[in-house]
Amino acid sequence: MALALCAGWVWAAGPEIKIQLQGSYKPADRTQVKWAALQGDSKVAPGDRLLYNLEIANQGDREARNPVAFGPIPAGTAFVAGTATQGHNIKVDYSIDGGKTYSASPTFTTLGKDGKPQTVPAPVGRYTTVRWMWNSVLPAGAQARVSYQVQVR
Amino acid sequence: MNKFAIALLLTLGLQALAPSILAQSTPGGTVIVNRASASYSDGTNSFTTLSNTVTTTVANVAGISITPDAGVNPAVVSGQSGVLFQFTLVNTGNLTDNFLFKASGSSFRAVTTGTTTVTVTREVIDVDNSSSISAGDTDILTNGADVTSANVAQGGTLIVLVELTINAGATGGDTLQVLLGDQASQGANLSANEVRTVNVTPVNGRREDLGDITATVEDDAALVLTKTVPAGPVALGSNIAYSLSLANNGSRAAGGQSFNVNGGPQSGILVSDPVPAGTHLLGAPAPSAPAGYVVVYTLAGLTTAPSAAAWTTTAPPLATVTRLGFFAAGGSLAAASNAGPFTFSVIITTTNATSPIGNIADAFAKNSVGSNITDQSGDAVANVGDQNADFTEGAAPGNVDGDGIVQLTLLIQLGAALLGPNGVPGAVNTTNNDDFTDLSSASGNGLAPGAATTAPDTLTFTNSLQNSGNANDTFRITAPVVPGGFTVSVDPDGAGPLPPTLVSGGGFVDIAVSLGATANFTTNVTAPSGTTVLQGYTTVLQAESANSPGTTNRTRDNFFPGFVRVTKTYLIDNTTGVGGPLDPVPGAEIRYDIAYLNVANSASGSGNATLTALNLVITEDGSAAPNNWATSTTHLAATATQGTVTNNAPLNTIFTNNVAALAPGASGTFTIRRTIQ
Repeated sequence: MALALCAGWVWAAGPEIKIQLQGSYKPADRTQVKWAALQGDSKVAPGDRLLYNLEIANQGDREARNPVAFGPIPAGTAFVAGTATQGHNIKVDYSIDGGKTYSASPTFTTLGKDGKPQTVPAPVGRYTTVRWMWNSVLPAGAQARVSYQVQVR
Repeated sequence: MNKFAIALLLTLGLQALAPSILAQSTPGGTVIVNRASASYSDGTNSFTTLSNTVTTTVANVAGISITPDAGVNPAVVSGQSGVLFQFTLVNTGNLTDNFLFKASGSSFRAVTTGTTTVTVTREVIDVDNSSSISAGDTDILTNGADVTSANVAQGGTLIVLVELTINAGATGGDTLQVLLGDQASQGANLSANEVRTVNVTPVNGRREDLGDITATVEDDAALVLTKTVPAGPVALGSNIAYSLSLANNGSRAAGGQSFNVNGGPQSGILVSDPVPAGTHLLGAPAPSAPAGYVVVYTLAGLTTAPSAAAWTTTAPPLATVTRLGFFAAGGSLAAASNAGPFTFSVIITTTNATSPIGNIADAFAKNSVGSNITDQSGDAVANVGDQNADFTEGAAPGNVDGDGIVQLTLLIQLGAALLGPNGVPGAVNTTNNDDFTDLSSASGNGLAPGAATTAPDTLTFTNSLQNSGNANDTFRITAPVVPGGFTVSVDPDGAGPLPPTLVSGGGFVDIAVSLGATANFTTNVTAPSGTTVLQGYTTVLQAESANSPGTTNRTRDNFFPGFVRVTKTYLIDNTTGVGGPLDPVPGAEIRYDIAYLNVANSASGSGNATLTALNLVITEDGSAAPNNWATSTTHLAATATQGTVTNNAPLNTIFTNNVAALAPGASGTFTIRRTIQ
């Protein structure tokens, strides 16, 4: 993910990150091949995909350290595997408990066929949050963009 | 959900989510709200910030899934009723909806192959989800209008039950496909056989789906009773051993029918075998049954079907047993299995080997749908019999005439004949091959010994032919010996419609005679003109058995052109002293000897038809030309060795010798003595 300076932001004392969320959708029936921005009256149907773009921008006058972005998986949707933005300086992980804990490959404990507890990979349908953690600072005036997709259940 | 829908999801890369989406679609009207957040620090403090909120609303989407698709039900059998096919309808939309079924059960169809047809007896929405049809279920078969179900919540299910009866003519291997709906997973097109959603507001309109279940028709219990019967021929009085086995060639077990055994009803499988006519059941070797079966007996006549007969496990006197049975009380015969062998023996009591000993047996059971099934032995056709084997079933297999085949054991037929004079086929002369019938012709009348006839003449003999063998037979009548110039013809029915046939010169006549019976036929023997009179001409007739070729008997028909030979001689006895002793001088005696002889045959045995001359009258008239001794001689004496002598005394010129009967070979002499004047 590229970081870039943006001359349009208003400078503030210290780091100050603003986050902007923009949604778009694409119907499952493929009648629409391009993403369409979600408007106030947009309706989606089960199976449709929603694309969420997050943009964080440091509008302060100092670098922001340990920038982290959180993309929730809204109720009524399920995360689409492999759609979270990746980067060499970003660690992407997921929560299945509403953001209490994260893991690159969440697991949970269930009872196996033998009746004994066993840890198994959590299906993406159980994901609740996507988290991006940059291992670099976000300089003043810089911004970063990540995205992920969910599917309407 | 059909295969196309699954393929579409796969194409879209949604395979991992597809099931959960279908099962847990987000309800229509749900507002999906999303707001991201971020955190960071300035090296000392940490901060959190929230994004704007992005919302969207989930539209109403209709959906219906009917399963199973290409489902398979357990196999069915011919005649099976109450066969249930269960479909599950799921509201796969994201709103509460209803399902619509077309009027008069049109949403259901059955596609069959072969001879199978079905009758839909009931079709319901299984309101209580009991998977069985009960009083509170919603009828969707007899309704005259479309039926709309109660509300079905999102993800909710509805069970539809279709009840069928399989027709009796269904054939194993046929298939039966039951369809609910007419198009798979598509927008409803309001077609004639569809099952669809009702709500018109969803973004995808109304939806329909199709489910189908196939069942294979399998053969129900199929009995094939097989009997091993010796082909023979066997001798009268010998034993015949029988063996039976009962197979169930069907795909389902056979159960028992109810029979009267030991005085009460008992359910079981029965193999019933009537004791063949002309035989008696044997106690040794004893009848034997395989494990699970017992030997039972009945005295009921064959006009009583085995199902109505009273059976006992205690053997009555075996000579009175009409049927032997093998009974498995409470038993069953598994699919594709056999029971046996069932064995018993009989002794042949008939003395008539004409007809083979026939045998046929019945088997009785029930099939899986509770119908009585039966089979008769003799063919490989399953489940076909007339339920009362009584030897009238013939030789055609069950698929032709509806019953089994009477299997035959041939009997050894020994042919024998007695051919003889009329009414005495067993006549014997020196043997029973030279018995004879003597008949005399008038053609020799007035002819002196050694003279010949001047015209052909025919004598008609009646001969009797008795069948003395052990079976009905046909005998060939030939004439191996015929006098030269004679012709012989045989008329098999005498004055009947059948024409005579020339047997002299190698011809023959075949005459059928029942066992023990005697047939009379006539034999016309024609002597040619020029036949020397007063002697016998023998025609030998022969009867040969068709049952036993080479077995023959003969008789003789003897043609006599006159059979009393009369020979006259004279002798002079001159004792007058005048002339020689043999000179006919006055005063000498002249003696006339009239010798007569019956030249017909005498018999040494019995039963032969001989010729006896009755009321033989020999007249010596001294005035009848060429005689003239009446006027030149005087009476001296008249005597005879046979019979009586009369004359016309006192003239004494006509003498008569009356013989009441002159037997064959008998002779006499009539002597008249005169004195020459």
